[in-house]
Amino acid sequence: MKDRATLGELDLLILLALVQIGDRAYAIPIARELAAYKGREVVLGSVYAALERLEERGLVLSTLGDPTPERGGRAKRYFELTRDGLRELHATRRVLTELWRKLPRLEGDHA
Amino acid sequence: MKRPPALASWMLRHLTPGPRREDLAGDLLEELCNGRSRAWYWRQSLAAVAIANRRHARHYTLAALFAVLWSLPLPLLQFHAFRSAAFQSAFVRLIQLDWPSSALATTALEFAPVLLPLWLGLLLYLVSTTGSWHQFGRFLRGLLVSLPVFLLVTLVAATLAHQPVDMHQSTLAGILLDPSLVLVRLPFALSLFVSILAALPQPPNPTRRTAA
Repeated sequence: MKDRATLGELDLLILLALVQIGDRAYAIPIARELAAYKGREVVLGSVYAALERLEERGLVLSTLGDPTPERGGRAKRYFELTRDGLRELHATRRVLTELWRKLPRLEGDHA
Repeated sequence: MKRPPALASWMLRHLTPGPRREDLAGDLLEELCNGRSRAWYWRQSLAAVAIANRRHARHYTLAALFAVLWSLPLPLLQFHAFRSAAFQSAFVRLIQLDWPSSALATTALEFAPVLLPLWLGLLLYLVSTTGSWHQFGRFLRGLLVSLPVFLLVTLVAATLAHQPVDMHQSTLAGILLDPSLVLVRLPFALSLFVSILAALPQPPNPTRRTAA
């Protein structure tokens, strides 16, 4: 259960962004997705740091695409969720759902 | 194609360690070509440098702290080692060997109370930070670097010392309180720090798992 305990907010959002984007996810669309969640610009360096961390833990897998001229001849690095990553997301959802169930209602909130 | 700020690109290329540097540079250039401003490029580059080096700064600080703490009991250890009957009898036996064996053996014996704790500290640091006992290659690299660094720094420290520290004649209280013993600890701590960095140039990563 160590992995679940160490999945930070950014790690979790990135894994969810990978689910939303699907194939061909690389740092720029991931950062755009995160910016939409958070409502502010996201630093690409922090996205890469988190992706590197997640890859070390086997939760995401990266592959290199073809080099393109608009990137100065550099290739895009695509990221995808692994089976372990998906399992981690489900486990985190179970924990959070359980915790949210105990969240007290606000006064006047009937929803 | 829009050209990125040269200095920001240089910083990105030279000040961000790690395997994702080229990927990040490509992403920033792509966004710049898609209409992002040069100020945005600068912001992202500076933030990337800060984030990449935060991990390294922590690694260096931890190694330095460990080296200093590990060096604190060293004079005490030397004091006991030099005064022990085993050391004295070994010294007497070794000095009776033919030259140059006697010189080499007694020098090795004199350095043993320093170098053995140094290498033990290196091994302990490697194992505790990487979480694995399979550190032979890294340990060997650190060990090979530690020897010349230790000899060089000891030589400099001995030159700087106004009078030699005679460990054989010192009392226990003298060893603990004597400020001149900084010159005994310094070569040790510095050699340990450099050998840790030689063994572990990058911050240690958790064990890589195979993706499903």
